[in-house]
Amino acid sequence: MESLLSIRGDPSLKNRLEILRKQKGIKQEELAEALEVSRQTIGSLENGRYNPSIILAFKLARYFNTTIEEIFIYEEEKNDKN
Amino acid sequence: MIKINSQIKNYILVGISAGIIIGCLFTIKLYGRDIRVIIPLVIALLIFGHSVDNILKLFVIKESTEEKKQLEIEMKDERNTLIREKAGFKTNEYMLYLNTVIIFILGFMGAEFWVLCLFGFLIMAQGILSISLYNYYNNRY
Repeated sequence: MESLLSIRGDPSLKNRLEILRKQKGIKQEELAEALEVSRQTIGSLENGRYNPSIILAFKLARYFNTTIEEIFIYEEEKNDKN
Repeated sequence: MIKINSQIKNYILVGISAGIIIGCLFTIKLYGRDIRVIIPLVIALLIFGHSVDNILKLFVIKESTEEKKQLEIEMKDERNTLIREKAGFKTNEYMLYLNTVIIFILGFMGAEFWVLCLFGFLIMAQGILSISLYNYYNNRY
């Protein structure tokens, strides 16, 4: 069973963070500074190793002037469909 | 009232605790082990460790506001907080196993009963604290 404290990102949650960041032409450091998080957090988010809190998700959405759903895509697992 | 600089306070605490540690070790060497010496020795060791930790932390924090802000971000960062929580959780789990192993080892070594009881109490305290904190946070969130 997956631990509640797990920092491993849920594989069913994908995000377009890297694409949006590159579209905006900013570095990970700059995004991290704007959101007041560490650069490693941005890196982990982009790699899908870490899922953000709802607060950080809102901050990201506001920063990119979009909605959370535009950044994060939840793909239901095959087992869930049954 | 004279305001003592936190770094100076840490140096004073390191000096005092180091003095107490040396004094306690010297007393143990002269008169043998006694609970009246062990207790201040443990307290002094804790103060020494804590003060040295504070000194090292203050050495790391540079005076520039830019680096202070960066350090603050690192401390408040949600991923770092989660990692710290996970590390704490795992440490607690491993300490439980370690304490159990120590009790067995001490038991086989023929340690005194009160020493075994002390380690047993540690495990019990850890369990009670875990349950209490779980209930506390369960009601809070």
